[in-house]
Amino acid sequence: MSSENEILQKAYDTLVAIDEDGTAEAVAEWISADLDPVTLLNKLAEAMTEVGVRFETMEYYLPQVMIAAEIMNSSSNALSEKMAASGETSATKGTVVIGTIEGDIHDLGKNIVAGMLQASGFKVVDMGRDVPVTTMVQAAKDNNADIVAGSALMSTTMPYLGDIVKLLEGMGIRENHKVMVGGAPVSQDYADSIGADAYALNSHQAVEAAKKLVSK
Amino acid sequence: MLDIINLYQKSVEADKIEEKNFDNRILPKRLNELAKEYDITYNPDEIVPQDMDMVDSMFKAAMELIVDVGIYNISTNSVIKLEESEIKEQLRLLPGEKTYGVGNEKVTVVQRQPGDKRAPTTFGGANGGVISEQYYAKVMESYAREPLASGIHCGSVATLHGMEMKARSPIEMLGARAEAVWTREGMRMAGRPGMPMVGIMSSVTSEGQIFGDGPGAMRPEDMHLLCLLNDMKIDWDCLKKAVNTSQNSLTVDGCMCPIMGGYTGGPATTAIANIAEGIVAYMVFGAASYSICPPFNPMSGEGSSAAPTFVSAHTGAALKRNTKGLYSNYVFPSAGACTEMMIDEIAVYAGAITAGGIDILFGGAGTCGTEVDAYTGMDSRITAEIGIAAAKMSMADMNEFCVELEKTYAPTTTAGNAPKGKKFYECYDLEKVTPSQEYVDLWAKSKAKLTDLGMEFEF
Repeated sequence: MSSENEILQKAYDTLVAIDEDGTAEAVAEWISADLDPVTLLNKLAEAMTEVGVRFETMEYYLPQVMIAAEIMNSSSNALSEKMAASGETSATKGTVVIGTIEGDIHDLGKNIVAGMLQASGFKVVDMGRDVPVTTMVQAAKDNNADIVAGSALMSTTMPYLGDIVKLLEGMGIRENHKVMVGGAPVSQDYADSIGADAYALNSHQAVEAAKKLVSK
Repeated sequence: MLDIINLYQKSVEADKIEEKNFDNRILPKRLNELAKEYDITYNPDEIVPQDMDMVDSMFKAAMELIVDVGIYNISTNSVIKLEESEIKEQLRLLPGEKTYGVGNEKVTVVQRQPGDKRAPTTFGGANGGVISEQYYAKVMESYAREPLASGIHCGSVATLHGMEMKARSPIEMLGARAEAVWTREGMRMAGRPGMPMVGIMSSVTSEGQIFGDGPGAMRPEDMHLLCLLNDMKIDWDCLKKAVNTSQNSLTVDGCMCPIMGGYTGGPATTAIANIAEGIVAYMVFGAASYSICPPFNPMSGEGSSAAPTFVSAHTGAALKRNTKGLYSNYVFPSAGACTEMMIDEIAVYAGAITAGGIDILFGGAGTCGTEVDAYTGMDSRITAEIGIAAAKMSMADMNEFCVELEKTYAPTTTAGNAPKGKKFYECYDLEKVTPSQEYVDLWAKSKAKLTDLGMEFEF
C-alpha cells in the first residue's frame, strides 16, 4: 500500500498531467486509507495552480484546463462525500456565478476565466453563453454567490453588464454580490461607469480580482 | 454553396453531442493527431511560409479535420457531417476572383499566390472598432480620401442619439443602418460613393445585420460579413444570415476570429483549424472570400507577434495553393494610431500575410480594435503602402525582415503594454479630414527605417 506522501504526489502528478484515471485512483486510495480529505484537496489545488501557470505560459491550452477542472470537480465531489459522512465541510475560496451576457455567444474567453477560477479554488457556477441578466442574478441569489462575473465580446452586448448591477440594486441585494466584468470592449473606465466592483483584462487578472473581492 | 435545407436537415437529424465534449476532447484530440501525422510544427524563425510541402500538408490535415469532426451546430447540439467528395465539389465552384462596389469605384480582386509580386488590395477601415457617432462619418471619409484604399471596412457605432447600442433591441437595428449610411456618407463626401464597404459590425443578431441593407446603406455589391463561431461551429443565426444573403444575391465575406491557446491549441494546430474553417466558410456561406482576425493571445490580447503572424500567413498560403478562394485578413496592431510601434506591427503582420498570398488587407486598426475613436485613414495608407512594398520582396527576405522586426516590439505587445496612441480627433484635422503633420512625419521616418531593413517603397 502506498504511503500518504506517495498518494499525495501521485494525485498532484496525475492532475498536472491531465490523467483522469490516475487522479481518480489516487483519490480512491486516499479515501480507502481513511486519510484527511482536506490535505488531499489542498494538494489538488496546488496541482490546479500549476495547470493554470502552464496555460498562462502557453504550455497548456484551454482543453487541458477545462479537463483538469473536470477532474478537480469529480475529485472534490468524492472527497466532499467522505467529509459529509464525517460531518466536515469542504472550503472553497468563494462562489462565482459566471456567464457570457445576453445576446453574446462568444464564450471562449469566459470559459478560460471559468477554468482558471476553478483552478484557483473557487466554486464556479458556469451559466454558459447568451445568459439573460435575470437568469444571472437569480443564479447568484440561489447559489449565494460571492461574485457575479459577466463577459461581453461585443460593444452591443456590453450594456447588459450594467443591467446586472441595476437589477441587483433593484432587487435590494446589491450588497450581497460583488460584480466583476470583462471582455474585449470592456475597460476599467466602463466597469467604473456601470458601478462594477472589478474589471479584469484576462483570466490571470480575473483570478486576482476575485481573490481580492472575496477577501473584502 | 451547400444547400441550407440540407444543412438544416443534417443538424436536426444528427445524434446529439455534448458541446464541451466536442470542444475539450473531440476537436483538440483530432487536431493534435493530424499535426503529428503530417509533421506540422511551429517554428518562430519561419513565420512567413518557406516550406510549401508543410503548407500543403496543413491543407490536407484541414480537409481530414472537417470530414472527421464535422461542423458543430450549437443550436441543435449536433454535428453536421460532410463527405470529402462533397467538400471537393464545393471547392471546385470557387471563382478565383470577385468584383466589389459599383461605378467608378468597382474593384475586381483576383486571387494571388504565395510570393505573388502583384500587390494585395487594401480595404481601409476600423475593422469593427468602436467609433463615436459624432466622428463616425468623418472617420469613414478619412479612409475614402486615401487613394490606395479600394474599400472600407466599417467600424461599430458607439451610440445613436446618445443611447448605447444594445443587442436584440430596436436600437441595434437602427445602429446597423446608421453604420452603413454614415459609411456611405463618408464615401460621398470624398467623392467615391461607389466604394465597397464591409459590414455590418454594429449588430450581432441576424435581424440587426440584415437591417444594414437598404437605401443609402449596404448594397448587394458590398461585402456582407458572415461569421463562423469559434471553433468549427455554427448556429441558426449564422444560417439565417446565409439565407438572407443567398436568397437576395448579396456579396458575402465569410469570417472567423480565432483565439490562440483556445480549443484549437497552439500555432500549428490553430493554423490547421483556421484552414478548415476557411473551407467551411466558403461552403456554408457561399463566400468567394474568407477573412480572419489574427489569433489573439487571451492573456495579452495581442495578435501581431510571431505565433499569430505564422498562423495567418500559413492559413493564407494553404488556402491559396489548394483552392480558388479569396483570403483577406484583419490587420490589428496592438499599438494605437500615430505610434512607431503600430507601424512596425503592421509592417510585420501585413508583410508576412502579403508574402503568404493575401488578397485583401483590412485596416489596419490600432489597439486591436478595442479603443473608441482610435482609427484613421492614415492607418490604411500605411497598410496599403506596406502591402505594395512587401509584395516586391522574396518570401525568404520577407521572413528575415519579419523575424528581426518582430523581436523589437513583441516583448511589449505580449506583456500587454503597447502604447494606445492617439484618437482620430487628436491626429486629424477635422475640417479638412487630413492627417496631422506629426503623423505624416512619423510615417516618413518609419518608412526610412523600414527601407533600411529591406522594404522598397514606391511612394
